[in-house]
Amino acid sequence: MAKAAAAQAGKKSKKKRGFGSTLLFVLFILGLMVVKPAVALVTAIGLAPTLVAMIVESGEFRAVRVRTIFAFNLTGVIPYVVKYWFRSDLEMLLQDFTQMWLFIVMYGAAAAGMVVLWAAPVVVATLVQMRNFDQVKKINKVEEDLVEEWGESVRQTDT
Amino acid sequence: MAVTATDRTEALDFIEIDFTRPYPNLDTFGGRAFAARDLRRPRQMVYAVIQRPGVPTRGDVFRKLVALPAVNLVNPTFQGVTRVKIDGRQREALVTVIEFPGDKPMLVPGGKAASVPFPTIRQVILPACIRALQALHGRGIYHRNIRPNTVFMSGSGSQDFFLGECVTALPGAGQPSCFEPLERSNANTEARGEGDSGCDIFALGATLLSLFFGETVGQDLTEEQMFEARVNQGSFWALSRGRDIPGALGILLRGMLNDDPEDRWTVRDLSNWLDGAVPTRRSGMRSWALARPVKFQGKMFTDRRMLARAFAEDERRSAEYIRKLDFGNWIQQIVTSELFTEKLERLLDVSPDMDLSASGSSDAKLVARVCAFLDPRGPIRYRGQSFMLDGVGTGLARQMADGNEPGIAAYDDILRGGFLETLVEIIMEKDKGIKPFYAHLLPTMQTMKTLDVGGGVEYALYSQCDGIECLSPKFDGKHVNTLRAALVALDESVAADSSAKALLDRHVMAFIVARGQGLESVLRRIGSAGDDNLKLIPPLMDLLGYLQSQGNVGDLPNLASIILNAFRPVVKDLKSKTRRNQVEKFLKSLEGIGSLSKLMAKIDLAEVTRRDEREYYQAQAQCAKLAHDRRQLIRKVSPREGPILRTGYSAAQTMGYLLVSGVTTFAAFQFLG
Repeated sequence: MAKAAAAQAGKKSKKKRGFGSTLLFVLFILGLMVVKPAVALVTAIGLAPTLVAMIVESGEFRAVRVRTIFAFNLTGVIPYVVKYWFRSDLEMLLQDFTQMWLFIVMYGAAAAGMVVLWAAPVVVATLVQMRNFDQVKKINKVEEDLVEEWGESVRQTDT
Repeated sequence: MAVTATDRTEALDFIEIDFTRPYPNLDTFGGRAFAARDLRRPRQMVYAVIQRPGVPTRGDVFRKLVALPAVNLVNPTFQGVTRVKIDGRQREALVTVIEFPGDKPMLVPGGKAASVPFPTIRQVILPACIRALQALHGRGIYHRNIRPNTVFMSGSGSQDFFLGECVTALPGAGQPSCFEPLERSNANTEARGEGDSGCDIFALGATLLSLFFGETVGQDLTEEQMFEARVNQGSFWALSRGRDIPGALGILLRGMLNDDPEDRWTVRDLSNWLDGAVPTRRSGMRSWALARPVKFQGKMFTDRRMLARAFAEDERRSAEYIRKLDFGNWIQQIVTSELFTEKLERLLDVSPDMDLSASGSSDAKLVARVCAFLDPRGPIRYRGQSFMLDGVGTGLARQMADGNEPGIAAYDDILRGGFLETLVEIIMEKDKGIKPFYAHLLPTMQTMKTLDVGGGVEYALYSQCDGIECLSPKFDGKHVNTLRAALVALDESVAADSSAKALLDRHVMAFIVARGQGLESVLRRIGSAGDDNLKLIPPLMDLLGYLQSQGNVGDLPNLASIILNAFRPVVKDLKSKTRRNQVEKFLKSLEGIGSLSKLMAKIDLAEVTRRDEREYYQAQAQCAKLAHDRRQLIRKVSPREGPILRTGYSAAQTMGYLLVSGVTTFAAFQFLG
C-alpha cells in the first residue's frame, strides 16, 4: 500500500518536473522573442521534436531519452541559432522556412537521435552476449578442472 | 604326550635338557620330566618339565617361589620356551626348570613300599611338611598336589623330607580324588580350584596315611565307590579301609582327614600336636543325610551330596524327575527339615513345564540349581561340567585345549548368561564361604559381557588363568605367554597382505585385554568399528603401537604392512585425485617401517579423510554455483532488458552531448572567427 502510494507520488512529481521544464522552455522562448525574435522562432520551431518527446515519452527511461533527443535536436538547431543571432532577420528566416533544408537539418538531427536511441541497446546487448560467451568458456574450464580433481560425482548437484 | 628333541640336547639359554633321560617318576599332570643341567651352576642338580601345550602352569606360584624359595619344597628355578618335538611335531613348549629332589618319590602309583614308621613321620616328615606349608600358606600359596608320589625323602644320614614342586600341575589336577577334600573331589580334575590350606592338610593326611600303610590309599576302589564310601563312612575310615590306626597317629590323621573343612586341623594344630597338645574341635556335625531315602534311577540315596552327584549325571531324566515332584513338600519332608524359604523357592524355580528346547538348557539349569541347593559346598554342575568357583579358569583351559565346544559353551552360558548369579545366591543361603571366589569372578564376568572384541569366554580363560599361553590357532606350534611374545608371534603368523580383520582373533584380543592394563576402551573402539576400515585401523594401530612401545618390541614389519595395506582402500576412497596420489606416495614411503608407534605418529588418515570430505562438499557447492552462473550467461540477452537499455541510452546520451558540444564549439568559432 505504502509502496503504491510512493510510486504514485513519484509519478506525480515526474509529471510536475516535466511540466516545469516545458514551462521554463516556453518562458525562455517568450523572453527571447522580445530580444531576438528570429532566434526565438527558429529555436521554438527547431526544438519541436524535443517538445514532442517531452510530452509523449514516459516510463523509466523518459529523462535519458528526452535528454538524448534534445542533444541531437540541438545539434541541428545550433547552426541556425548562431546564424540568426547575428543577423536577426525575420524575412530571411521566412525565406529559409520555404526551403526544406532547414527542417531537414533540425528535424533530421532529432531523428538521428531517435535512431541512436534504438540502436544503442541493440549494440550493447550484442556486446554483452559476446562477453557472456567468453565467461561461459572460463566457467567450463574451471568446472572441468574441478571434475578432473574430484571426479564426475562433484557435478551431482548440477542435475 | 611323547616328547623328543631333534638333537640329543636342546639348549635354552643356560639350560641344557637331555631328552634321552626322561624322569617318568617326576612327570606331572602338566608335563614330562627330563634330566637337565644349569650351565650357570653346574653343581646344582635340576630337572626340566616340558609343559603339555594348552595346560597352564601356576604362573603366580612360580613367580613367588623364584623370588623367595620355600623350605622343604622342591622349588622351581627358571622358566623359558624351547623348541621340542611333541607327539612327532616340532613346536615351542614351556620348560620349567626345577631343583632335583632325587628321582624316587616315596611311593609310586600302584607300588608298595615299606611302611614309614610313626617316629619318622613324627620326627622327620611332619616337621618338614609344617615348615613347607607355613612357608607356602604364609605367601598365599596352596600346594594342592601333595600325594605319595610327589613327596621325597633325601639323604641317608641326615634325612630330610620335601614336598614336590607345585608349579607345573594345576591345583588338584591329576590328583586321585581321595587326596582331595570331599567337597572338591567331585569337580573335574582341572577345575578343582586353588582351594585353601585345608585342602593341603587333607592331602597331606591322605599321604601320611599312604606312607604309614606303605601303599597309596584308595587304589582298589573306583572314584565313585570311593566317593560313596567317604560319604557314608567319612574319609578317614574310607581311606584307611577299616584298618585301625591306634594312638597319636590315629588322632593326627582323623584331624587331618576330617570332612568338615571347619573341623579339619590347621597347620597350627599340627604344630601343637607335635608339641604334645591335642587340638579339640567342637564338631558342628553338619548333616548331609536326607530325612528319608530317595529312590532315583532305581537306586536309593540317603545323602544329599550323593543325590546331587546322581542328578548331574543325566540332566534330562533328573529334570523330568524333579518336575514331577511337589517340590516344596518334597524338600520339606525328604531333603531337609530346615525352612524352605520363599526366596529359595523363587531361586530354585522348579516349574512343572517341560523343557522342549533342543539344547535342553532349561533342564540343565534346573538340575544345576537343585544340585547347588543339595550340595552347596560341592562343585557347580552344569552340562557335564563340574567345577569349583575358583577353578573356572583352569577348567575352561582344559575345554579350550581339547576344543570341546559343548564344554566351552557351558562355561560361557554360566559366566555370561547371568546364570552364575542365581547359583551363587542359592549356595550363599547355605555357604557364605563362596563369596570371595565369586567377588574374584565378578570383574571378569562384567568385561566378558561388555566387550565385543577381547571379551567373551576367551577373556574368562585368560583373566582367570594367568599361567596359560595364548591358545589362538594363529599361534599353532608357538608358546605365547606374554604380550611381547604375542606381538612378535602375531607378526610372524600373519602374511603381510592379510586384512586387518585377520588380526582380530578372539583369543589374541582376549589375551591382550587380560594381560594388558586399561585396554578396554580401545578394544571397545575396535568393537564398534565393525567392517569400517577407517574406524577400525586407528584404534587397532593405537593398541598394537602401545603394546609395541610398552613391551619394547622391535620392528613388526608384517603388522605394519597390514596396517598400511588396510589404509589403501581408504586412500582409494579419497575423492581428491591430487590428495590420493600424495597419500599413496606417502604410504609407499612408509613401507619398511616396522614401528607401529612411528606409523601412528605419521598417519592421521581420519583427519585426511575429514578434510577431503569437507573440501569435496566445497567443490560440489562451487560446481553448483558455476552451473547456475552458466545458465545465467548462456541465455539470449535482449536489448529490451533494463540494464541493457540503461547502458544503451546512457551511451546514446553521451554521444548526443559530445555531438552538441562539438557543433556548438564549431559554430561559435566560425562566427566569432
